[in-house]
Amino acid sequence: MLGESDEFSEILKTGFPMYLLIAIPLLLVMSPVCPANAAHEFTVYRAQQYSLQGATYGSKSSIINLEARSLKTWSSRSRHCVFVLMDNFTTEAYEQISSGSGALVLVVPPTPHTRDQQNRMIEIEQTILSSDTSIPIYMINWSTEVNDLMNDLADSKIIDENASSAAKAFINSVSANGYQIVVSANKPVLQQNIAISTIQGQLIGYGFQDKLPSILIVAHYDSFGLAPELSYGADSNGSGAAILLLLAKILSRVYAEKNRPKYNVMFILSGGGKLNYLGSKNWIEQQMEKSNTLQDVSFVLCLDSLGSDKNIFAHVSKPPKDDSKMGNFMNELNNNLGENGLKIIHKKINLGSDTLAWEHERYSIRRLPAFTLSSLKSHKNSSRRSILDTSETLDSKIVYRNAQIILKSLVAHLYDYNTSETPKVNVDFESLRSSLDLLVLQPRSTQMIAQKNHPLVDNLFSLMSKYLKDVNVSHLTADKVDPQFSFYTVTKATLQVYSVKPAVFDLILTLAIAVYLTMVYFFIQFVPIVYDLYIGTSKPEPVVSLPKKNNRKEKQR
Amino acid sequence: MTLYHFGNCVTLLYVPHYLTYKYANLSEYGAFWKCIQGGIIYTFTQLCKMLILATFFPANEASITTLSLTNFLKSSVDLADIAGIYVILQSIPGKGHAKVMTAGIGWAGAEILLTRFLLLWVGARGTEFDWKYTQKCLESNINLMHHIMTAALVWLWSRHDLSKLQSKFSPFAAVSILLLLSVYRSVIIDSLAAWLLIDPWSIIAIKGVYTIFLGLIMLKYYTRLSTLIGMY
Repeated sequence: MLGESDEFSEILKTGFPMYLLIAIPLLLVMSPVCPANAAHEFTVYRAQQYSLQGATYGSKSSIINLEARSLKTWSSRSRHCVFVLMDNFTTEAYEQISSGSGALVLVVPPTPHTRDQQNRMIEIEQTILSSDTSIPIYMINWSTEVNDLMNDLADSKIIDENASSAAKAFINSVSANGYQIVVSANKPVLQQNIAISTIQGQLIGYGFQDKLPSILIVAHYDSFGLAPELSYGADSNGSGAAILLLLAKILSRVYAEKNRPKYNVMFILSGGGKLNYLGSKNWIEQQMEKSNTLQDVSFVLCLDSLGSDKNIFAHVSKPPKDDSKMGNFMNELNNNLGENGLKIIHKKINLGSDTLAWEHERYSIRRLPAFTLSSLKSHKNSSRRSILDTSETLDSKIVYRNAQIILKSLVAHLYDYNTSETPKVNVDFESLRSSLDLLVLQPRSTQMIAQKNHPLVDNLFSLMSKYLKDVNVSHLTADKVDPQFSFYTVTKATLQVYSVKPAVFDLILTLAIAVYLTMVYFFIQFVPIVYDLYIGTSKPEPVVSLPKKNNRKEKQR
Repeated sequence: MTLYHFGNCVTLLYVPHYLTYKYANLSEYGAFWKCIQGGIIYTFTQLCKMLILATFFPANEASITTLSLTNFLKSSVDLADIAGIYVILQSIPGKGHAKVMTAGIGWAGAEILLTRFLLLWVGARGTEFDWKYTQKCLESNINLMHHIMTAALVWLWSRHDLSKLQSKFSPFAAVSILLLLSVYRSVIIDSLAAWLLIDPWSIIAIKGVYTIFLGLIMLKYYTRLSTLIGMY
């Protein structure tokens, strides 16, 4: 028995402890660094990072491993991850944060937004989009968990400048909860194989095809916003593209009849609309090179953002003559619009500007009579480039109504206002609804759909093929050496929130444990005393063995 | 949270076991390998319990904290612990107090090794801070006391001379009641906590008080019996 008791001490006398010295660090090194699951995981959407015509925009990095702070507890010299509600943010604060080395997480407030909120959010969005920063910027959708986190951060006492004394400030900083924010995404790299698709198709009029005048109907189908994954672009330009698909569907029926119009109608769903209309530009160049489709164009009708208002504006670069085909069509549109009427807005093309205002300007530059129909009065309206433009804010009834008016005017024009020949056309709401749903229920940021055979492009292609002839897709790719545009990967990541304690807390805990263990020690010593006490009540007996069974344990708070 | 925090938790977990082992003077009895044998029996007992649970209570349809006959039967499987401790007591040729202490410490030691160490390794070392690891450690300390007490009760219960104690109330019945109270300790306290929505810190406090209370009563009987049979 005694021999056995020595075995343990013999183990200690051999080299065993030495082996432990080697084995334990090895074990530490080999085990994963961060094995615990975070208390919360959120999906976050990275802000845009792209370059266009030589200038770069957006945020350049993606990795965060920082402590969280709210806008209030953040100070400009610290390196932290700032959580802020988008409608509570100012351009000045953004500039301070973006010039530092922390990170920014923007919380999109819960819908519905008031007009005031919208304005502030759009202002922030445009500020960030037009800037170029090295800190990671993410957006996160509002949820109750995010809200709790925000409240905790706002009340955080880690830095409490109002504490009455140094001791109080110390206690606060020990008891405070901190949050460590970790986003371990890949490093953003240049996105390869970007191909912006432009889909075209046509309806051929009655007569000798090449001799007929043509009408071009153009709408871009991509979207834009601060975060690519959140850019649904419902109004701009889901509504325009949906109306184009609807026109294609209805006109294909008109063209199937015997007395079809003596016009060719060409439909162009252009990509890259948010990249200075590069899709249209590329398409025009291709057409100019290889064919004469652009020889006899009556007018080019561009559709952009037709879902926000019943007013329709016609944006032109050069006012049309009243007797031109474009002038006639606008008159007809004006008549059909009723009391509001069509308002023509004339804006000259600003060749000095980096970007064009409307898509029709791409055609006007090539001296094609062109105009854009839109519910927006000005091209400066930032809601065309916002994450707020979602299907929730789009009123499909208005899109439907605008589609009907445009269709009616167009059919009248195709039959040269000859009312006796004009067939009755009917738009059904359901087919508009379905093409809208196809477009606006998914984010359509250029970089997300700019691949050959992206499902959305395939869907649009097969839809166009169903109604139109000569449907084909042309791809615009960036030049390898001097790209006109480029995008970077990582549009989405997982943000992990760990609750942590300040380092000094660990030291305090060690002290508390030491005190507790001392109490345990005395408790163990105390057990034999109780034992002796009990013995004293029965029969005096020499107690040799000190300890008794039951020991330790203190309740501990 | 960090390796440092892990160190804190491990200290909190193991030092009381070490102190108990040391101040019970078990090393004088060569009890180290016997503690390990006790641990092996513990492991075997837990395996048997798992087999029984998996066979007779296949789906955990109700949460553990609700009061129901199924849950009561489920926690009755813990009676196997008594059998396990009994086997240890029978197979250890130690004498007197050391025998009971060895069984209790071996049992508790195996429990913390098997149920706590991995939890701490995975949890307390991560980035996330959570009080539950500290709480688990404190709870293990209480469990150590609990297991020693249970071992002493089983020892008392197995003694034929227990009935020789003079008492108004049958000592055998009293010890049996204490045994049942200690086996059903966790189910009693857990359902109480779920019913009254007690916070984790108070649960630990309640467990501690409960265990000390049972321990003091048990110690009374233990002292009288050991005095009776002249053991120290």
